[in-house]
Amino acid sequence: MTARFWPVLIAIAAISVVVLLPRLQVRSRRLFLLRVLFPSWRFFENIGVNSQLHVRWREVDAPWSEWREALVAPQRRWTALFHNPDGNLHFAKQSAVEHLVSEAELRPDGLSESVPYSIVRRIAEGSVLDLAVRSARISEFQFKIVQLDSADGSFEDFLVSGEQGVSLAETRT
Amino acid sequence: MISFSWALETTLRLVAFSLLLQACEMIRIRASWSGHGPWAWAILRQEFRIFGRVPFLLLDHALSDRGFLLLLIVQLASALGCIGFPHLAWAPLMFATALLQSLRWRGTFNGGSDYMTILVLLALSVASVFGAEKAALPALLYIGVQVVASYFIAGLVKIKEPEWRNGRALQVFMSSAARGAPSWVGMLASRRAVCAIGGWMVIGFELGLPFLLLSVGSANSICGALLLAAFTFHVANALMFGLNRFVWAWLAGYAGVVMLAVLSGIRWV
Repeated sequence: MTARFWPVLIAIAAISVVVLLPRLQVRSRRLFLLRVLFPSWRFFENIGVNSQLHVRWREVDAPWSEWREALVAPQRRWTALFHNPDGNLHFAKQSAVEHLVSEAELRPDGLSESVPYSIVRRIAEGSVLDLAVRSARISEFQFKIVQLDSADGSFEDFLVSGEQGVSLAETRT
Repeated sequence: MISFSWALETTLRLVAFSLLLQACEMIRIRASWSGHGPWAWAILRQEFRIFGRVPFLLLDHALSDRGFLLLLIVQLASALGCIGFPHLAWAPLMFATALLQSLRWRGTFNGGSDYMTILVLLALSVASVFGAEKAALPALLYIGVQVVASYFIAGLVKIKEPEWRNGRALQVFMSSAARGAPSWVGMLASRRAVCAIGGWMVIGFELGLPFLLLSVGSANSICGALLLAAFTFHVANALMFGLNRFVWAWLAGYAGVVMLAVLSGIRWV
């Protein structure tokens, strides 16, 4: 191989070494918000734990519904290769759930006042209104994050919210 | 045929096309980031106070629900401008809008595709500051190295995982992607042997592609065929997993890979 090849190999090796170093848990909020400037190419690294958002609700003077999975992937067509807003929004919602899990592990105090919690709360409320066919009689809802261990198929509740009042109903019906 | 100016124009046009698609999708999901949506600025803005008073005031205008819509329109217009009249001068504007868009989504909206889009635009923006004659070629080579490294690293992290080597990982990912995907994805996911073979094909492809690409040197037709195979790999991922943004974000870096292959003039002997 020619001498000009070596700088390329060295550059790839250097990037690989940096990326493969043990990952640091970033606690800095600034770095977290600017993390797009620090690319990571570790795609689909391992199956790990899958966090799922579940919701339940109740109407006035009625019992709670069953827990239902809140995030359902939209059906894809070939046109989604160019324009896939619903699919990518679905990924963003799933990421928001995973960020709330990280937030709960890093900063458990005041979790319900945090931005990740508020985002997931609204995602959950939106899902409740969709799943319940936007019934105007929904009085309360709850959400929880269930962690599914893909390796052994076990699952457990990671976080269960308190009873939440519905605030979006009048804007969505 | 393959020249420095071709590579620069192609990169500019393709990254602008990628950005155009991203802006269209973002405008389409406006309800999720405005008004009563989960990512409404009223919810997010408190987090941005950490940047200090003046940056916060600027962000408070640029990323408010109305400001963000304006930002997306600017992104759309600059991307269209760059497709029609490719020039490095568009790069800083496109970079600024893409970075602000990621900030608005608390870091990234779509992970890897945002990383690649920002990386390409940042390299081109730096080149625009120092001038095309001096800095565009290093920028293209940097993009090329990062694209090649992205495949290699993705393969490296997979091959060290036993679940990738025995097919279990691909099976789990395909099973979870099957909801919303064409029915053949679920059928493939139900066959462990198929997933094991598929897993090794993915690992082999990701680890081997960089060396194959760089080994062809100035053999343009082979380099083109390999990049076509890589593009097909991304299209398959988009169809199976819905990762359409990756297709266009990575495509934007391919001209940099071509320049890297040509200029490194590799011959395996």
